[in-house]
Amino acid sequence: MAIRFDCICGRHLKVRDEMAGRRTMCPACGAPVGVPSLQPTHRGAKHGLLRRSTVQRTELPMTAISAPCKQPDLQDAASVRPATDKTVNLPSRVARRRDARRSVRLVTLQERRRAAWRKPRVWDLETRWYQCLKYPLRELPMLLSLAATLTIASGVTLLALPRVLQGNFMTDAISALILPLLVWSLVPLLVLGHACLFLSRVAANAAAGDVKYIGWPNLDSGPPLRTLGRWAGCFLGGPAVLSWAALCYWLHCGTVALLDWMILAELLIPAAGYWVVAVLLVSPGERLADANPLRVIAAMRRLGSRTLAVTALGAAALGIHLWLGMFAIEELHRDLMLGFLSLGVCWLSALYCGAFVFRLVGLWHHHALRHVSPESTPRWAIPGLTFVHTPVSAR
Amino acid sequence: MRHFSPVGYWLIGVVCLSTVGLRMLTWPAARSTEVDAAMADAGRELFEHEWTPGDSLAGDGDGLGPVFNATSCLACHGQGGSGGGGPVDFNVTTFTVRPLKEGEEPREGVVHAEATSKDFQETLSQVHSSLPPQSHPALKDLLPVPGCNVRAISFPSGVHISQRNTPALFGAKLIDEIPEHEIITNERRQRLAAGLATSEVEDVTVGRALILADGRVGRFGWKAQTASLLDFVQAACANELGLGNPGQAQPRPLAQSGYEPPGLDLTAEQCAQLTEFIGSLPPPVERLAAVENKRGRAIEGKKLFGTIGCANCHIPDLAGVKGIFSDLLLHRMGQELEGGGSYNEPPLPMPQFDPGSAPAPGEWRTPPLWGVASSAPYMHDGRAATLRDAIKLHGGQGQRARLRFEALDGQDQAQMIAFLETLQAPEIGDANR
Repeated sequence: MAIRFDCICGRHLKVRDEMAGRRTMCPACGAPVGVPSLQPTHRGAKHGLLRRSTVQRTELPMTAISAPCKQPDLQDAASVRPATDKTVNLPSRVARRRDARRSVRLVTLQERRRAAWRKPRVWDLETRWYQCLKYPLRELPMLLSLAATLTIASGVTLLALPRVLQGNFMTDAISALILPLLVWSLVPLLVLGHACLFLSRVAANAAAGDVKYIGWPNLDSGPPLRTLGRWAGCFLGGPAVLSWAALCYWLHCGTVALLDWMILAELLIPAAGYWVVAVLLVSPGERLADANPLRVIAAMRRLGSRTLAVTALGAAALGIHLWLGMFAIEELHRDLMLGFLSLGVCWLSALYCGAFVFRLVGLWHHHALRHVSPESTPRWAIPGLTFVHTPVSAR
Repeated sequence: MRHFSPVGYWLIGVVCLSTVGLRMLTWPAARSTEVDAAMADAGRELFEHEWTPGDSLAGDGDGLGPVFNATSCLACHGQGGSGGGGPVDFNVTTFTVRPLKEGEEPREGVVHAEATSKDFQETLSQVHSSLPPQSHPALKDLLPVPGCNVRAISFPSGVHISQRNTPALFGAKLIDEIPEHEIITNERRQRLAAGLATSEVEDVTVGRALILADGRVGRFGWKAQTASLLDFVQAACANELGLGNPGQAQPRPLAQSGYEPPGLDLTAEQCAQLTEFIGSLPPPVERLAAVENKRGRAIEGKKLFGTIGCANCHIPDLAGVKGIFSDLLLHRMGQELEGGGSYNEPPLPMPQFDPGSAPAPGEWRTPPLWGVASSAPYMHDGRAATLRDAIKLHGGQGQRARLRFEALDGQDQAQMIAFLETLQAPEIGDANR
């Protein structure tokens, strides 16, 4: 039997059972990939990149848990993992020594239930757009944490920065704050980078057609700052021009009338749609070059009429949360408690909507890649991917 | 996968371009008109005319009054020439009355100093019975005694009395021609620089443009309550001289609110002539001294003016009008400078403003500083006799700049005052810019 799994670039791979737990190379993108193990490698281990069918096939009854470096319980000889062919002809003392090393102990009913509870839930890949609304709820603890840190970082920065900028730089007291301010300015960037990293992983996960858990970030500041840089690069590569035009128009248009709102919408909606698609393309391979305008346009062509939905969703999410954010910032200057609360709700809502939009758009892109024929799309248009056309009947 | 039809792309392109095209067609053009000399001359005659009851120039109306503050425009606007400011003696006394019971309407208006007959004479006691029967109280009686919150004339609950000093009219045409969107642009820039703070905060300088109920942006008056020079002229003729006109009816005496004038005193053309004359007044100039060290002090003072934050509100140039030193926005200036109500009260709801957008008691339009050296006294009621006194009275959003000015050493302060003293009223013969 074969182990089937997906590479991060989207290619479906199949290897022999003997390759379980080993490393190989994806023939499409050339990246090293780990072949999932058929058995849990340690207590509480989660399954790797396995499809549901594969997971079901490889699920083992949790009757024995190996605990290295413990004394074997010889009364449980029946629960010991049966010896392989290689161990049949070993002398009995060698076999006993090996059994001692691989000490097995009794598994109580309580431990069995606890292990079943810790077993990661297997999620189905969404087939309808509204099923993607549940996806951010899986990551709710992370969303809440990110929203809280973003609220504090952005709120303090918005309150302190204008007052310091209008401060008197001639006095020593104010100038002594410059260096701490420069250090502080990294904190909001880092927090924002973590939020961007989370959304990027959601997008990459969806683009690969995967259902795996995103996972909590570690304390390394490199990935979030690099992700923030990639997001900024995606913004500067196209939407920045339209956004700058919209900002200049809003500054100079006077009292905003209906025509002015329409013009602002015409500038911001395409910018939002372009940015969403660019971030989606950048997220799997983590290469900024994947977001060049030609690839973005090719991705939009593959999405077809869904491009409009992508653009509308992205613009709606950005527009609504910009409006909420401005309201929250005004409240912040009037009433601290209400302002921070409003800002927190705004960030949480923005992260939820961002996760939903990227999940949905990523899955659309994933399905678009699987349906399009290789001849119709040039290789350069698909970041690092040489896909295999899988007939529907074979899935 | 359905692909988007090319017709759809064309349709989207047409819709986008049509909105832009429509906006370009409706974009307000910059107004800059030449002064009509004949109209300006006729307006000068009206400006300097001494009005009387039943005046021959008053048309169908009753002429001067029945209640008025002066008998001619020149009587108040005479400092430094026709169109200048006025001293404290010609301050206008205003009142606001907040409703205390259900069903009462808010009231605001002017307590006029003079009347054509004793029956029409207005006093403070007609505003509220507990106020003294004075028609023109002294400014010091309306201000709290320094060090305590007690006034010589105590205000009953819901009532506030304040005064307004006569502003100079030089350069009014240039202010009138500033496009509205430029004033709003200034407001948005200040809000962005202040982290999107609203004008209600007092520790950062962020003003707001006053949008009237008809959608126009206010730019004239101490509270920016008037949108155009014509409206300002019409309101002044009606309120100060009792000359009813098509833009503003003359006020009814407080003692006889049922008084009906026989007709309008001024025609629309007369109002336009007055407006044209005021528009012909040249703007103030920045006159540097001929002596080198004095010139150098003024130049250094101008740099300090920007460094310590005065230029955050008193911006030197606005929409091409050079040397105006004002952003024409409302700013909160602290409790000491309240007017039109007590400082912490919400704005009085009046029909000419949208609900909630009327100027608050502590909000004042940034007065243009051009000609400031020739327009003493200062502040809205003329309570500051000198420029130093005026700076020391800045509170609220102006407090930070005041503190920085007070932190300067004597030489730097003198340099800043020397710069402000270069902003002088125009001399006769200064051309319009």
